[in-house]
Amino acid sequence: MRWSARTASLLAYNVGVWAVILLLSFPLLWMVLTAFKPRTEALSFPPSFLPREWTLEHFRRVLNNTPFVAFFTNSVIVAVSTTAIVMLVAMFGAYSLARFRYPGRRLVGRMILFTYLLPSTVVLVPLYLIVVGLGLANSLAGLVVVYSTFALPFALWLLHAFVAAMPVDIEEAARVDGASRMGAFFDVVVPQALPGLISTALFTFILSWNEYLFSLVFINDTRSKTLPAGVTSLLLDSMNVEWNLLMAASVLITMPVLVFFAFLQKHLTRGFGAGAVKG
Amino acid sequence: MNVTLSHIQKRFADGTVAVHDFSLEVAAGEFLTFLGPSGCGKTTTLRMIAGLELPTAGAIHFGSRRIDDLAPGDRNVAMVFQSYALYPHMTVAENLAYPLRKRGVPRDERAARVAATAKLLQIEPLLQRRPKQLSGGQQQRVALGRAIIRDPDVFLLDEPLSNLDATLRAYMRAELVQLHRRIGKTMIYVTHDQVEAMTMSTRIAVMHQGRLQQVGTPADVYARPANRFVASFVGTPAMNFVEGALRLEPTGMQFVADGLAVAVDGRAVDANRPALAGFRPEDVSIGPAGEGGAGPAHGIGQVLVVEPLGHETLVVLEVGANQLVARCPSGIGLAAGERVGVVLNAGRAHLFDNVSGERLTV
Repeated sequence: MRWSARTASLLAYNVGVWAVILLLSFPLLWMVLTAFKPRTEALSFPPSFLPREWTLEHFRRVLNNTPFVAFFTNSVIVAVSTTAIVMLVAMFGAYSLARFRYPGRRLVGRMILFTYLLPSTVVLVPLYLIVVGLGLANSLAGLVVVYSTFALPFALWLLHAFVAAMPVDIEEAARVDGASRMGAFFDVVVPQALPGLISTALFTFILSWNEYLFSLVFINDTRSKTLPAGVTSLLLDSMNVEWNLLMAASVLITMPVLVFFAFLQKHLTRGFGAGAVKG
Repeated sequence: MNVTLSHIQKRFADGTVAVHDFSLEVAAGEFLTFLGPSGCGKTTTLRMIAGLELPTAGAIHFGSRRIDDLAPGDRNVAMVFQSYALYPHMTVAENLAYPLRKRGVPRDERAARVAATAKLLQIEPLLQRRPKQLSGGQQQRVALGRAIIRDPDVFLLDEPLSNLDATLRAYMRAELVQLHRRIGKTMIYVTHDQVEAMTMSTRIAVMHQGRLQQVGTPADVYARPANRFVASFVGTPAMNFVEGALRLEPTGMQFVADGLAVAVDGRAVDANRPALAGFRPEDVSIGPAGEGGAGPAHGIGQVLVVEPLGHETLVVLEVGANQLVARCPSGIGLAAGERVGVVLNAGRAHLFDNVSGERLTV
């Protein structure tokens, strides 16, 4: 049987895609497998791929013998608060940028992403001084403020694009139908922006969940640290790396994000704006 | 509910004036159409009535109540948008119920009215679908339903048929006329399509460059256009215009142009002045070519193009320096290049000022 050019290119495409997927997911896979290997096996050479012996010992130790749960709680508080604040501000801000006419509106719209041109190490010290000035040093609230400033420009930019692409007619129809401006916003704009809102929420949540540098610098008190800084400071020192514990902790850190993704993924791709307006 | 627009004006932030000193009284139960080319201010005027734009000057009254400072939702108007503007995340039933929900109508009554409206518009099988699952015609019906359901004082329709294909548009025109007759409410309709305006309206308000040109019944606007713009905008094919002069001859008033001379009813018009004459294509006919022949030809023309349309034939003629379109019976049997006599229906000539374009005859 001869293969047509189409089948061949489809095959090549699939092989390529799977190669990339394997390349990207291998470290994740390695992390999960190592977390279940006994300590000796993790360090043995040549390394084993699948654990010869499965153990939950490392998870037990991470949860019972370290402040992991405290770190986890801190991370949840910071990520959820940041996401809530960013979503609220970004949604109203994006609506304002897209719908109202005022001086400087375009400039703000274009300058939003410029904030990302500054490397975070450059703003580290100035931001720290601001946070100290606000009296939020060494507190989770300080981290929430800082992470919000990181996520907000992207959130504004993304949602602005969503709202701007939405036909004004639908909102106007709602207002003629008896809704106030705010009513039309919640009845019509928010539901249509849902895929954008979910993407933004995911972005913000992951950003604050994974952030390391600022958490490391801003929080001195060990029990107030968030997961990335807390776990690394606990399990890494110059002499010794607790690989199995580190991997078990990493698995636990990854879980909420995976769950978040699993639940929201279908909303990311569902765009019910399509077909609303003809012409 | 009658609608009164008094000297309303709309000036946008960039300084452009979309609507100039516009006054109009719409009678209760009337189907009034704003007709004009795009950019003439008709949609802006409609949006001011809806409350989506605020007039920069003037007042709008519904009955005796002044409404131009009320929010759109407090005016009890319903609007059908050109894009239909259905709520994409709601089902048809939810779309229909939305205006009732916003007015606090109880759930049971909402359901009953949704059912009744769906029945009226024959969209019952679609109630659980979302807008994107509907055809253009079905979306149109839902948009109408959402307007009807709340029993508004005034219906505002902004080019509601322009996104439909030709067949469906003709069908929906008749539906809308019937709907208007059945519910008897004031409807204000915006279109650039003169066929819609002519066929559906009680009265037509012709607009151009933000100004009201003429208000009248379709027959009136067609038979007695107030100025050159109205004359040229209403009627297909468009009216023929000929530049020439009015002369008072012993036999009466004559309109004389290059290659044409025709007696016109010129009472109350100054003689011996330049003028613009307009002839509808149906008022131009073709007679024998020879001067002094059987027909009282007003000029001699040459056939440029023959356009057979089936039920009639349009003949483009060159008469002197002018081109005229004549509406002729089908099977007239003419060919391009032929010389023919041109006969004008003198009694239905329209005379306009050659500069201002205003109508001259009474």
